[in-house]
Amino acid sequence: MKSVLKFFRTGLGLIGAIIILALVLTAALAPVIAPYDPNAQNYEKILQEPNAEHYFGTDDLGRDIFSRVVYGAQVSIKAAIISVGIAMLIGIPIGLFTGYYRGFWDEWVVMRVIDALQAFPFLILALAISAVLGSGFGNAMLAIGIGFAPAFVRITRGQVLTLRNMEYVHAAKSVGVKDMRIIFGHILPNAMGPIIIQSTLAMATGILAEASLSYLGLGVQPPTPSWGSMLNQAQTLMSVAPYATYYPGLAIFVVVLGFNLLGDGLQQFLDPKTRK
Amino acid sequence: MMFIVKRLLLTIPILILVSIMTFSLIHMIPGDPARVILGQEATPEAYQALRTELGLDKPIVEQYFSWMGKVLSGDLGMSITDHVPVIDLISQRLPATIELTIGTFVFALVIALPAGILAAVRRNTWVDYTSSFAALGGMSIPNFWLAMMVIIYFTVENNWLPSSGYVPFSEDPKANLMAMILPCLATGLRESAVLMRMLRSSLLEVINMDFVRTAKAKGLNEVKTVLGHVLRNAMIPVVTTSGLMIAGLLGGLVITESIFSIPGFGRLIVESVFKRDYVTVQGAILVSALLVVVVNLLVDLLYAVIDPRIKAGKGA
Repeated sequence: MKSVLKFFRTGLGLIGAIIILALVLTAALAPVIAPYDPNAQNYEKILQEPNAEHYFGTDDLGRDIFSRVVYGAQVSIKAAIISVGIAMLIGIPIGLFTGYYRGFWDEWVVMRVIDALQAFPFLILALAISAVLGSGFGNAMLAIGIGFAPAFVRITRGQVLTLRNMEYVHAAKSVGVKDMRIIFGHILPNAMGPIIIQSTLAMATGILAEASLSYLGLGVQPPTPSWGSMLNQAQTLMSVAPYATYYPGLAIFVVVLGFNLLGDGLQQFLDPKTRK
Repeated sequence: MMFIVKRLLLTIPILILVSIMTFSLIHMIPGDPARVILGQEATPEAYQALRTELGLDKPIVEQYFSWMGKVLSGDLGMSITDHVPVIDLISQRLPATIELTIGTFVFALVIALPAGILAAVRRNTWVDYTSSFAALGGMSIPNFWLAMMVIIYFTVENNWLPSSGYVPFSEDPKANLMAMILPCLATGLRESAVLMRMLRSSLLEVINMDFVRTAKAKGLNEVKTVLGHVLRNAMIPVVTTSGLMIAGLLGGLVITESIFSIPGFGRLIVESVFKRDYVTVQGAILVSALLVVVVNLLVDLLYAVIDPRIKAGKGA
């Protein structure tokens, strides 16, 4: 409890945590918060500037932008959790086993595959996978998750390489504790700090990547409201309804900033060099 | 010399794996790639012709070596939709992307260098807090949204700069530079934030070292100490970040090019994805990965120039 309080005292982490909590609440309470159905079209009220009835205005189909931004939070939070979840599911076990057992497979197979995967620019890799598997939210998540996985392999492996030489690991080995129990029971809990930081920062990138793919038309498909696809549709309206571009982008910015602040706060809190 | 040879040798397995991954792309398409590319209405003759063209009628290992042989001789295949060699499409599109990458990087450096140095030298003052928070904000801004904001402000509202209409530098240098300002601004701001943070933390690592204290004790003023001693020793992480940034930009200006209608390499990939021109996607992805590998190699070799201890095998 003390350390939780200490973490929040860093200020940055607290602001980040509040933003993320607001995102989660907005996503969960979207049907209550949103005044209109996000997909309901009203041709009598197209392209209305922000007003008391439509706080963020309406788009070219007369849909309420505020309601769409609120529902868009659901997509973003799903994107953050699913993409990073996939990356962790792939990356952490590979990092644990290769770091613990080392040898030929670690040095010459897994790490070289990771090097090769990291040679592909992230968005290009995600684009290629989406191109092959087809557009849509699920495939976009898979693409982003695969793109993130190498970073998790590296971070986990790096931690394991240090932890495997710790005395408590040698002690566990000497009393006959099985490898699986050492890896998952002793090493993994001690390696979690940097993995948590990485996952927080990856969630920020995951939201940006989902928005980018949706913007390009390869992520969430219309009419489902996603901040990226809303920006795609608003781009054609820039000269007549610039406000349509303001709010979805601002939402992405604030949420990504929240995850970055939380990640930074965690880093400062967990890193002995910066921890006061 | 050994460092350079060792680094070059390490690149070979990466290149082989990159080629295998890129080759596998077409084979990852669910179902028969030729059927997916042509659609269900294609005639059996067209279907068979495409299978032969893509080499899908041969065993997979033979397909890989045949493809690899062509790649090594500069043949990345023929675009399925444009019916021109993919290598020609790429070489037409790369100059715009290279120009955009250079412009973005210069823009990022111009902001990041002074901001990073000031933040580190004035640590824990309002200068540091402001620039660090601005950098965190800059890292969180979606590029494509920032691009729209600059278009709304500079083009739609004030008509100061064009938001499209790219012309090659060789044809009209002035129009080219005018068309490049907004894309470089929109992309460079975020990149400057990343560079600035890296420079600040790297400078902070060095600034308290003994040799810096000695330089100050000998009467060297702050500017000379920072620029002459601290900066050079803090450059390795910055060079790494710059290298990764340039590599990423070369292959990843997908969205900036789409928004500003720049006929670049990234836009070629997006267009090919939508046209289901998998051969072009495959060739472009291979080239983007090769660019990353080459830039990373050059960055590693640059380390040896910046820090002679690395060349001598004593450094990090």
